[in-house]
Amino acid sequence: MADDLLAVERLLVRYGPIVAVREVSLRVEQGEIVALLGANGAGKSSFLNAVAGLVPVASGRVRFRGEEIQQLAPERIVKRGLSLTPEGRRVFPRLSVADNLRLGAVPQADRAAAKAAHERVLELFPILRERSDQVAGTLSGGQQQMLAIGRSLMANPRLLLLDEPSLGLAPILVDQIFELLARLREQGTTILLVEQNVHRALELADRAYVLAGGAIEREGPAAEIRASAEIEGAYLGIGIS
Amino acid sequence: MRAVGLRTLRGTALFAVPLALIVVLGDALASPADLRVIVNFVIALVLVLAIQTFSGNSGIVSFGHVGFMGVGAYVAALLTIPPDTKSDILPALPGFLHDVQLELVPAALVAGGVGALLAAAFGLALARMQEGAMAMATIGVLVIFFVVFDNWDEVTRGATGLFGVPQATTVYAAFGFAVVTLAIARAFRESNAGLKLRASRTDALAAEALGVDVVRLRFVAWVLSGFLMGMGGALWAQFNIAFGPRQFFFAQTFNLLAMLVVGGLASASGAVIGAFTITAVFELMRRAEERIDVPGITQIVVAALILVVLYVRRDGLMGLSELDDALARRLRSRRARSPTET
Amino acid sequence: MIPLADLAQEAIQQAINALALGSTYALLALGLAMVFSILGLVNFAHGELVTVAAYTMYLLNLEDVPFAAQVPAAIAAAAVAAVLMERIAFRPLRGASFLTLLFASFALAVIIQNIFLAAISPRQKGVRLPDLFNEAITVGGYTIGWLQIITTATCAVALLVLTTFLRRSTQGLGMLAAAQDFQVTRLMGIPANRVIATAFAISGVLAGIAAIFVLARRGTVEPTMGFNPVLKAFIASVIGGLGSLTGAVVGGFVLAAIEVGLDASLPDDVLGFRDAFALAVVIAILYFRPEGLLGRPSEAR
Repeated sequence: MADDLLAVERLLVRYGPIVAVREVSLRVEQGEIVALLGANGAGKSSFLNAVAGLVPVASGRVRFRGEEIQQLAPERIVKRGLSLTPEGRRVFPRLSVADNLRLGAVPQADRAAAKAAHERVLELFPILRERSDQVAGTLSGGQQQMLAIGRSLMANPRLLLLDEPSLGLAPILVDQIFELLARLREQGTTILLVEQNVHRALELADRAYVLAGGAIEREGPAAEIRASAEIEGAYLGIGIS
Repeated sequence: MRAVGLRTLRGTALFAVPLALIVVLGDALASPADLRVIVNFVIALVLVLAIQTFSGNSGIVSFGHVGFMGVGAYVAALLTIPPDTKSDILPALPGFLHDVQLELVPAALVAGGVGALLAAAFGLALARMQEGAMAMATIGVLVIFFVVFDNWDEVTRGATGLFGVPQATTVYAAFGFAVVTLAIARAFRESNAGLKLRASRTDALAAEALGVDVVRLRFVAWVLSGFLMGMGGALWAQFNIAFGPRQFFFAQTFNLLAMLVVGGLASASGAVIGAFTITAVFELMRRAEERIDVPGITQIVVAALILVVLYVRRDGLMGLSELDDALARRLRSRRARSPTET
Repeated sequence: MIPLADLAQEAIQQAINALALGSTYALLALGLAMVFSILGLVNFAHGELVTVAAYTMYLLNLEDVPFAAQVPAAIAAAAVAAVLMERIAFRPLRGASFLTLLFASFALAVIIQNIFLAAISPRQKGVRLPDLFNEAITVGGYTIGWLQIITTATCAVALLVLTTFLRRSTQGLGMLAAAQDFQVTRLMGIPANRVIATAFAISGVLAGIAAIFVLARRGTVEPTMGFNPVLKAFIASVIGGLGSLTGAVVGGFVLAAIEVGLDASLPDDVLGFRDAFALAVVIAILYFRPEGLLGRPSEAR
């Protein structure tokens, strides 16, 4: 549809002879949260990495705000307002929290907007203000995840891609993350969320896609997916807690 | 076990036959200068295969092997130079070393033995190191050997070098050693030890989890290659008859590693093909340089060629497989042509 | 029996020597580490950057260009050569294995050496340097060469400038980040190619600065003059921990300390073996700390 923020058409991602993403089509509308679910190895990370430009696209199209970006380098994609928070937090371990955030702001050319984004991030994550000078590698897992997301937000992205933000975090931190994502949606950030925590993801998301073996198994409104998943039990391969 | 024997045989024969052809034809038809090239090529095979035995299977680049080549050369020289000459050039030599004079094969074997011993000594320290550190340490090995060759005047005549080594390496002797070395390199690669070592190359942690003692295997490969390298050095010395410490330093290391990297580090076939390619190009360029008269052009072209090959085939010309394995696979798939995939 | 005071004086004199020598090694090692930390590439052609700078000074010397002008020209030449090196030789090989990259840099070094050999001369050529470099001052019984003072001071300034750049500027932070996580740095909108080119340019500048002092010690240029510097740089980097910038600097001084210490303590008849002993020490360091003195254990390559 014309007003989709992100429209992916038949994306094919290949690592040598191994096909990781099989002609997946997916769309994300402005203002919504879309969940991409699936078991380990289903191709979710490869999909996000390909959209963000980290991994080459073998065939297919990725349209962001109407523009085709599948051939662009990641540096240029982020400048267009698409930000990826990769799996595993991946903060710069030997740089301070402040420096990490500063680097996140690089794509934001407008000084005023950059300042505003910085304030917003610190307001969303007060802990980052407290630990501004601390070396990022010494933060706890949950704090690093906050930093990683905060860093992605520094560039005021229109679309935020999140790869397993709740992975390895204690339940109370998982709660915080999902609350944060809901707040982001309120503030107007569109989110494409890859998650293994199916239950929470479906509670939060507007729509969902289920990926298996690199291809879309099913798609639809989150409520629908949730209902059918409960009926079919452990269909999705991960316990629905 | 039978598979090991078969593949070793197959892999060795595949190269031994054309090599035999080159050797016989060369001996019959080639000019003395061209025959020199052939003999040096065959000796280079021994040397490159020796390095391949370690670096190819462990995945650890070694800069130090040329040191063992030098050891082999100096040992062979000391064992084969006529006592009268030794009295002149190495007056400080201890009695038994002065008196001894061996033939080619015993000298080469002793040289290999000394190479293995010294490799073992260094190996005790090196094998335990992590992959990257070990590679760096091999540079240390190279320089240590060079400094010793350059300074131990009583035994090596330091920078002046040795001469008077009898030219005992005939083209046939070199051929014999090359075939044996190829067989050993191949047999090791296909053996359980070699297989386990190659597994550790791609994923050391997984290999260890399977009970592979990576340290011990690296040590074994290192000592074996030290033996082969010492032997090669002996052959080299007994062909080139005069040499100094500079022959066993970075230039020689570059030459041999070039052959290995261009041909493909991972296989014995790669070593052979690489040696052949580099020698051929070098010879062609040398003749051209004589006519064009631009000094250094040979080196430039050979080095540039290496770069080009690396751009096009990052794992070397042979890639990761042995030639006979690759050919057998192609034969099998052509014969089968069935829907089942490997 | 050597009086303690004399021993102490000797030790301090040697420490002064080690400081100056270490400064040169530190600059060389840092240049190497700049590229390795981001690309994982040990650039054996780094020595050729020293050669380029030195030959630039030689050629300008022939035209009677004043020394003060030769220096920036030489440094600029090395920086340009470094960026070209990356663009032409290493970019096509991005992502290749450690050995392939290492070997490609080896091949590149051979090519450049032979270009100088063919274009200028295979022989050593003398270069006239400021007389100051041969003079010394005496302070309280210690002899300190002007060259030593200038070397140490230059190294200190260069380190200060580089550190400030890396830690304070966004561009510099981007490079530190790239060394820690290259992929994620690209996600920050920082162009990969620019980061890499800048790293090479900086390594060229460092090599150019070091070249002045290498040249000052040698007095001559020759095509293979880059070999020894890159070897020292490499050993120093390994001691300090490959990929660690601080480690490179520390490694440079440690190597100098080892060399000067051995020079002072080895009996005359084994002095020729000094480098062998130095390397044995290096192997020992690697044995006990494979990641180098300041390297990180899990990242040993």
